[in-house]
Amino acid sequence: MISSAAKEGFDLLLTQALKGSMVPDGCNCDIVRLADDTDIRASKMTVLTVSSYLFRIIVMFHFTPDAETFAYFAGLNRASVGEMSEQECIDAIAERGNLCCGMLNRDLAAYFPHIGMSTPNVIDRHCAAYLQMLNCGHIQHFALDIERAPRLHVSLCVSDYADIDFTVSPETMGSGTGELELF
Amino acid sequence: MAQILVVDDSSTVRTEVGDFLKKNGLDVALAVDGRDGLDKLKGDPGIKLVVSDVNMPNMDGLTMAERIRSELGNANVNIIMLTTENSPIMKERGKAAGIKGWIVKPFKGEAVLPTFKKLVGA
Repeated sequence: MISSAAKEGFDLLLTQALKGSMVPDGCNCDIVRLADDTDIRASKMTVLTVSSYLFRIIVMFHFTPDAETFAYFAGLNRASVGEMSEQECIDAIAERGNLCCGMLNRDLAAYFPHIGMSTPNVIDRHCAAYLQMLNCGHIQHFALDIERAPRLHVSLCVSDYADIDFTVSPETMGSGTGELELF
Repeated sequence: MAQILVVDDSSTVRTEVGDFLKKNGLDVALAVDGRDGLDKLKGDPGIKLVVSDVNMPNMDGLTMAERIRSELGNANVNIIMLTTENSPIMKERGKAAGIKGWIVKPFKGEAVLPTFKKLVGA
C-alpha cells in the first residue's frame, strides 16, 4: 500500500523532473493533475521505468508524431526540425523522457538507495489499456501547458510490492547536473 | 583521425555533444553503443578521450571501459561517463575500471570544454 504522503511525493518529484527536462530555459510551464486520461489522445508513448525492490514506477510520455510536436522537441535540443528525420525526432522525445526519469531516479535515491531505471521505449498508445493488469497502487495523469508548445501529457503509474511511506524533503530535490566530477 | 569518441545510443545526444565539440575545434568520432565504441577505438589510435553513456544496448558504457583497459590493453585513453545515472555503486565500478570522470546529464558543453581540451592536448 502506498501512503498518501508517498503518492504526493511521487507526484511532486515527477513534476519537478518534468519542469527540469521538458521546458526550455526561461519558459513558463503549468502542470495540472487530471482526473483521468480521457483527454489524452496522443497516438504514441515513450515509456520508462524506475524500479526498486519495493516498487516499479512507469512513466509514460504521450505524444503525437506530428510537425508541431517534432518542432517543439527539436527546439528543446537547439535543432531545427527540418534537419531531423522522423526517427531522430522520436529519439529526441525519448531522450527528454530519459532526462526526466534520470532526475526522478536521482531524487528518489535519497529515500530508496537501491534504485535503477530503464532505457526509453516507444510504444503504441493502445498499450495503456493493459496498465490495469500491473495492479498499480497509484496512477496520476498530468497535462503540461508550456509557452509556445502543444499541450503535453504524462502518466505516472506506481506498482507497489510492499508498504511505501516517505515524505519528500525539499533539500533532496534537484541535485546538480552537467558538471564534471573528476576522479 | 579523431581526438574524442562520443558513445551514446541516442542520436540526439550524439548530435548535441558531437556538434558542440566540432564547433569548438575538436575532431569527433561517434559510436552507437559500447561494442561499436570498442571497434572505433581499435581503429583509431589518435583518440585521446572517450565520452560515453552508461546504459546502452549490446554493451553498456562501464563494460566498454573495463574492456578498453583489459581487452585492448589501452591504459592511456581518458574515459568520461555522460549519463543520467548518479549511483555511487556505478561510480565505484567506473573508478575501478580507471575512468577519469563522471557527468550527470544534461550535457552543458561550456562547463566541460576546457577540461576536454586539456585531456586531448588541444
